[in-house]
Amino acid sequence: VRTVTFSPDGHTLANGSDDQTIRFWDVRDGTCQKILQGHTSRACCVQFSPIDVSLPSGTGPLLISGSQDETINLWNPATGECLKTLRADRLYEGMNIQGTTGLTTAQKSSLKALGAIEY
Amino acid sequence: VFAETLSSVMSISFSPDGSLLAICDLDVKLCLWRVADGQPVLTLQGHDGWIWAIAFSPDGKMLASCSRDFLIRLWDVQSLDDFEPSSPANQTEASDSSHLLGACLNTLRGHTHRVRAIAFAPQRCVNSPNGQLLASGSDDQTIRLWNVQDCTCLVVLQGHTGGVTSVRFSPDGQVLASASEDASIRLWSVATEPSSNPCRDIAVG
Repeated sequence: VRTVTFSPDGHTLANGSDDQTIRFWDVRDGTCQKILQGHTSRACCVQFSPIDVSLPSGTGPLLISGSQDETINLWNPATGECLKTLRADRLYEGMNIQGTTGLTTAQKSSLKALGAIEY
Repeated sequence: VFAETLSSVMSISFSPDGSLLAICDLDVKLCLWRVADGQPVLTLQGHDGWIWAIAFSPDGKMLASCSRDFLIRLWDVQSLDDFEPSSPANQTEASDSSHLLGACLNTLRGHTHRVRAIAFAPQRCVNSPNGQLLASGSDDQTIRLWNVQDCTCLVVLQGHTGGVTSVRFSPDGQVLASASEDASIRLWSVATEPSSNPCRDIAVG
């Protein structure tokens, strides 16, 4: 388990884990209420937004999670749905290397890991 | 956008009023930035290993940091209210002649391994008048509660069988949650008397 945080009302505890999930726990009885899946690497930090936002399920705080998969996810805590994934552009984000010559397979793999595309 | 290249950022923390952002990176220093214009305000140095986590006190007067060097340091950021950072030169000046600005107020010693997480109790916590209660979690598998006013360790919470990676107080300050590498979460009743901190275990598996 990497990180824990309380919901603003103090009733729910959220945790981020090496198993790539975020889980909600009822603070009173310790039962697991929800498992949020979406990250593809360990969830390093979780935090509820300090202000309420308007969500389809009603007004409430958002849960924000950061992961070693290089993304930040915004979640609706009421439904467990991932609303948005944020990802900073990598060094070669969107560069199309289709048809390039003189690159080895290894070099292409490196470029693709840094955001290059080939199609 | 902040005009300085950072190495891997370990932790960030906003001051309670949102005016300052503290950032610690693998360079073993702690930098304070003014949020409004992205200007560097102050650099705090003193730790002898990566700084894992930082936290502002609820009143914004103090910054706590914990490190691989087993220590927790408390920094004075109260005087920053009067500080006008106009140029990066100011920053160097401040850290060179830091008789007031960013002075390390105190060092909390007690953990016997890397200190991974810290959290201040909320201001309204009954056990923590003036928000002077600090919790820390360490790779020595313990959690410590500190009174940052007189820098005493009040309680050592034992039970985890792996390093403690995160600590957090509930909004009312009654419960402390801890996460550990032993794949469990523990909920502790916050009391500043030894042996009165019953704990509940949540296994994560």
